[in-house]
Amino acid sequence: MLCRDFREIADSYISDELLVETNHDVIRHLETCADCRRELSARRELRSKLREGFQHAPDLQMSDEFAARLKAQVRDVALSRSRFSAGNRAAYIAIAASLVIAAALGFRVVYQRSHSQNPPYFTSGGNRDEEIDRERNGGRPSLVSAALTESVVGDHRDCALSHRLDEKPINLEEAGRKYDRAYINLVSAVMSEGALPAGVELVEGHSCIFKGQRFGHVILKYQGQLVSVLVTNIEAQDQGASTRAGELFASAQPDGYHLAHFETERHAVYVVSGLSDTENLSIARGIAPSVSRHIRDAERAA
Amino acid sequence: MFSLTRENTRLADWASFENEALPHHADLYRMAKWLVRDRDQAEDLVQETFVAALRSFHRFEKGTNCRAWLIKIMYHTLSKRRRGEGRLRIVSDNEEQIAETVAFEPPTPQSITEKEVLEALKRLPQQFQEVVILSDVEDMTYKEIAEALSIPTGTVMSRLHRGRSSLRAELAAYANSLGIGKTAETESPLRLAEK
Repeated sequence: MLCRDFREIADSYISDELLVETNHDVIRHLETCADCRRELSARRELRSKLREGFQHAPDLQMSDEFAARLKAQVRDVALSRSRFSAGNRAAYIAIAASLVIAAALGFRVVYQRSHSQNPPYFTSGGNRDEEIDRERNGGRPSLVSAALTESVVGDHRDCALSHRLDEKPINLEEAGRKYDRAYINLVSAVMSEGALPAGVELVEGHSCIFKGQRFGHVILKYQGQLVSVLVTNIEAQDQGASTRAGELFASAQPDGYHLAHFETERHAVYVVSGLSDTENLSIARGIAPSVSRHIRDAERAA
Repeated sequence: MFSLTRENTRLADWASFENEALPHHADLYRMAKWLVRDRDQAEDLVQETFVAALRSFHRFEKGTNCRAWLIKIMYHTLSKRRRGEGRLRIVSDNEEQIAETVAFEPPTPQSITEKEVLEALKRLPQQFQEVVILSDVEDMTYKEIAEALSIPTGTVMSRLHRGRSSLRAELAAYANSLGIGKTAETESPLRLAEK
């Protein structure tokens, strides 16, 4: 083999794309030719620089925010997509709707509840049997409806994850002046020092509308995932005020999200994310004292 | 129960996709950003690619190169998009163009930085850039590249040869202009061709 021939196929040799016989010819030539050994080494080095340069070029790096959004969006598609035939779609939609309602009403799990009226938030000791008994004995059920639960999950998905709401969000201060005082300084209440698990970061705060329901929306990032804290007025959901203040509820949604919520007299606060149940709940626990206090102050001032 | 079984199947499918395909998202993004140059468009392209990949994940053969499979889907998605926008790129590999691109087979210059290599690559025609990246950065085989770009394997080999030679020529010219990396070989490349 001549040096000229070697240089023609040197790159294919590096890529291991040559026939076995040709490979042997190359190896034999390299054993006797120092110039071609140097050239081979230089080409390997060039390839390595190209690879390193490409993989570490600052303008080619994906943002953490996009990585989290991508994962959530693909999971959303994965867990909600239909594999059913078009002919049966209507029937399956009805079944799916029933499952959503069943999930919201039937599978709700009460994790913890307070023993006293004020203030001990989410102390341990409550259990599901006690909760069911209490409801049978005349305790009011949560004011939160299945439709509201759907809106919460929908807002997290369409606002925080995919930015595809019909109506543009407005800032919390403006929403606080126009619609609900509880939205003013909501971000500070959520980010209250020392309340959240380590590593939680603030992404943004705004007020948005999903299917007619207005929310104060604070978006956090934890372990690479976006987490929505959604505050909404629930007076319109029922005739009276909530008696569930001081309790924390958690539920798994059929589309893979985990949701935790608590209520004040006239508001419901949700934490929704694709995190595990435990992680999602730890954020809800972290924000509950300061956010409840903040909302109660706003309710009193209204 | 029927619905729970189906739900479990979806969760299992998602877990499999999450383990196998999703870890390549950073590689896919780099490739997308290189191809479309714009961050928003690159993000859209990667997202579309993963959704399309998810929908045809049942066709992915376990044990084969998942990144190459995803890149193939990305190229098809991009091509479909460009057709939709009426701006499909026409690429021809006529000999005149190639002859103008590569004047001689230069020796590979050294003492060049990673950034300079990347800058030199950007100056090559697009069809050469992409095959060089797919082969030398993404480690795809000629066959995998041919499938991704929907071109014959022979064309892949020809573009790779021209692309790599052009890259070395660019770098040699750059090194010479700075007076770096000059060796006896770089000063007289034709001498080597005569050996």
